[in-house]
Amino acid sequence: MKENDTQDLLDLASELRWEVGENFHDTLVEGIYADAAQIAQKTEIKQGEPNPYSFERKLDQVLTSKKYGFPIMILILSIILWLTIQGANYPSGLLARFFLEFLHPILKTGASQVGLPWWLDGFLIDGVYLALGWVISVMLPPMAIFFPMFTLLEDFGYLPRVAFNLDSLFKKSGAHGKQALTMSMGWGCNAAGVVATRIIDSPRERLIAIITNNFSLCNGRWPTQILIATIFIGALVPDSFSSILASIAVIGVALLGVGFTFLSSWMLSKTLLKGEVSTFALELPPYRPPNLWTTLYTSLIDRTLIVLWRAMVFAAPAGAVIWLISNIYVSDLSLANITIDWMDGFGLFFGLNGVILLAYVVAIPANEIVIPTILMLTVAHLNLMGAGDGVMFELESATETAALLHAGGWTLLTGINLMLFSLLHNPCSTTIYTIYQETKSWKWTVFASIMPVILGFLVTFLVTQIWQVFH
Amino acid sequence: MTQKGLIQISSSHVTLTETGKNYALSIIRIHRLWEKYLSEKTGFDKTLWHDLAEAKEHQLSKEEAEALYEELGRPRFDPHGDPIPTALGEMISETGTSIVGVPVGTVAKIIHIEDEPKSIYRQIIKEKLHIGAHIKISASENHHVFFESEGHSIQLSTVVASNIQVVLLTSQEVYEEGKVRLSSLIEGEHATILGISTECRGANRRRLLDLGFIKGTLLTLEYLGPNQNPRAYRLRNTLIALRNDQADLILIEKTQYDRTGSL
Amino acid sequence: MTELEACDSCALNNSAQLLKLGINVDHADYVIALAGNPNTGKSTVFNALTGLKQHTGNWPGKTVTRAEGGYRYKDKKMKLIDLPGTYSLLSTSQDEEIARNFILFGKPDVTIIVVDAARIERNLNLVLQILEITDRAVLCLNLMDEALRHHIDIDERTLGKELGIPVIKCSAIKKQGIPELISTVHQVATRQIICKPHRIKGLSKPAQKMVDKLDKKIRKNYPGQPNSRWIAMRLLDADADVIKALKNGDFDQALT
Repeated sequence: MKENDTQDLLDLASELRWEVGENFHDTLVEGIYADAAQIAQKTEIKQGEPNPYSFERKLDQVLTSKKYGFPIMILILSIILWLTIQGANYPSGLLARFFLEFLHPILKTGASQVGLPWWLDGFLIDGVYLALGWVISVMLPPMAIFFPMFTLLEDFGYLPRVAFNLDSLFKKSGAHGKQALTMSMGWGCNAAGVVATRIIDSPRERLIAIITNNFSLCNGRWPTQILIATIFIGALVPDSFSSILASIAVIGVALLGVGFTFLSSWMLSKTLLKGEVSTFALELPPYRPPNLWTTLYTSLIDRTLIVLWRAMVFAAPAGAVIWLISNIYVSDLSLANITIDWMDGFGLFFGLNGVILLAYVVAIPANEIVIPTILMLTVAHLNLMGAGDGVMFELESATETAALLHAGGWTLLTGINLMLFSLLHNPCSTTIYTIYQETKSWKWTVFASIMPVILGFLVTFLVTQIWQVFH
Repeated sequence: MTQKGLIQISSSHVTLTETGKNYALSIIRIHRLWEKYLSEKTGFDKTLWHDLAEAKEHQLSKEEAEALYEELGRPRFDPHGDPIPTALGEMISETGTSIVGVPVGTVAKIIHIEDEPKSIYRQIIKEKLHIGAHIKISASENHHVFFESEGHSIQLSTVVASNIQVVLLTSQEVYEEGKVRLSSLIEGEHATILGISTECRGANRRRLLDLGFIKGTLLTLEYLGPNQNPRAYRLRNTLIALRNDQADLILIEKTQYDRTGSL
Repeated sequence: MTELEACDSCALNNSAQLLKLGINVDHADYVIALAGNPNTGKSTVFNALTGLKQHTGNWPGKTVTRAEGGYRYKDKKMKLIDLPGTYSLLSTSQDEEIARNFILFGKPDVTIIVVDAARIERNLNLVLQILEITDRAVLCLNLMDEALRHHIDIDERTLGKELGIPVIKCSAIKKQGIPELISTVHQVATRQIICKPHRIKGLSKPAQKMVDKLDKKIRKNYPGQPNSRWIAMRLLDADADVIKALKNGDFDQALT
């Protein structure tokens, strides 16, 4: 069609629009619903007494009540987290034994029989392969347990009720009730939590949920928290109380994350994001029995495997880098040791150390490999081992790990600050990539990556200052 | 300004030249268009519109303003009810009168709320008064105006009230005595929707309409959230949760008729 | 059937447009879209139709999840595209834009509209909008078992007559009604069933008059445009996307 014909048409349209008034949208929707009502009336057959959905009403009255709503929610969430952390232990151990203890030596032997040069063997098997094995064995089981349970609750219709219950809390910080769900999803995996923000259809609230998801302590960080809390905080009290105190410390860190979520959500909605469109709508669908097998299948395919694949793509080069920095020497010192010495002063200023900072730089791809990397770097830095540098490992018991870390100069302050820094640092690269995918904006991706690190340094600095006043 | 030929100074007073008038109108046009844009397409709070538009009115070129005008569907009024001058500098003249001085007992419709000075504008906003709202003057004394709107009794000082412009209802419009806000519905009560306030705009308005909050719809307040907010309403056999500030913008009439079980 | 019409009904005809929307139809005989409100069991219908032959991804350039899959029926390969679940096509959310553009420009051979049988009045809002855009649709009255449990039944013959499209009762979770759905979709795809979709009648008189006036003008400019009335309604609503599409000539392409 010719251009001026189009212009003619548009002119006529706006001329008519002036006549019809500015609320044609209302007129249109009212018209459609009028037709809908008429058709529904002609075709709906009500048989006998209408059933008043009494079961659903009763269930809703309990699940959204002032008295039981919150306790039930906390109970269900605790059960899911407990099942995830405890239930993942066994399969994780199995996978680790298979990849790290069984397959790794076989590959090494194979490589030496084929006559692979030591550096290629180290680069590929000790670097890339070990990192991949580590990520799969630590990441896969918890996600394979966590996501299906979440999806089942979603399909049953419970999750919208959680959003309903918590909305008033989130509203105060300018966020959407559904952020409660993406936040909980973040406790499984931040990348999955960021993808899950798609359920929030309001642009402003969705951005808030994406940017603050990193404050949810993810699966990759729970083990770090538990280990460090056991070694440094649990050790403060007699043995019989130590696991309780350690648990309280870990839960405290997770709750601190929730606090930061609310605080930063509130700040974002009042400043950077105040111009974004904000709407609210929440349908509370009828309760329906979930379809178990389909749920298992789709949550495994859609959530678990996609996230795992992304993590593997990023972990492989990280493994290579970790091996390289431990094995490239510049005048008798490995690159790793040079960097650690160089970063140490900066690290101590924040109550951390060079090993921790380097570990967080090279372990950006996955929080799961932070502890193995720290142990490896500590050993390398103490010069405890000569050959085999760049091999990530974990020790059998917390006592051994404690001994090693104490030898590396760690104190209670280092432990506390590592726990804080583990909560408040940049998202892993899988999550950063996902944030970009979901926002399509470099600006928000960079902001979401940098903001938590700055907060982390701020908080650890403050803790260090307070610590020094008392010591 | 004299050099630019926008004003002329005669012996006693300063007046706008014809060019000056046109320039002023084009600035007003951009200002009001931008306020319209902010109200429809962004999430900025309405107390911020004026300042943002003030900053924008000198930055937007004529071409950009035209593109915006097209994008917004050639609007006639800004969100405060003020007419937007056309590109040729024509402006629909206002016909409203100030709420002060309207005789007691009169029913009228708000057509304009002045957004300056800000302190007064905030007081009006606080009462949740908005363009299109019907009011009924109940008394006027002691530098105060008393009136009813959407089921609420409101009292404003004359200074504040004089910033609200109204017109009498036309013969087709009826003042609905029972017209109240959805937020006043009590658990288990039923109501018919009379409409969505014009204060609810852009994406928010469309979303509510799509969910079926339209004139004539029957609904029931099924239950409240643990903190009374949001609240779950059943309409067309579906439960939809709305926040109370949204429910403030939906006008209803309470009914006895229970439909929730029958559909 | 003339040659032109015959080609109009085959999927490959529109493959260029579909490719633009991110759908590769190289190995499919017909393209079927699946639309519906959220919470109507749409994904259960999708799973019942495709089984495990499906994969998920994103719509190109968008953060909206897309699932596509396929099934065979009478030697024909059907490609099924799951559109985002929406309440309407009138707002400006990403989901609605994708669903709308797919039906409008992708011109699927059949659009299956899934509705919740216990809530048809509410679901009809979307159904009536879709029927303004396409004239090849099948209504899937899903969750029939749940509706009956709540003593609600639907007179599907009257509903079919009112809407002008075939109506199939289903309980996708129990696989009830799926074979009937598959054969009906095939009949619509092969034009054994010709739909006469319902057109919105409930507009107020003055609004109706304006729509007619604009509609006439559009039909003059675009002879043969099947959804001119819908375009007229969108123009009166100042739908920026439709205005842009008109200016870019997207509707000219959709015609050929």
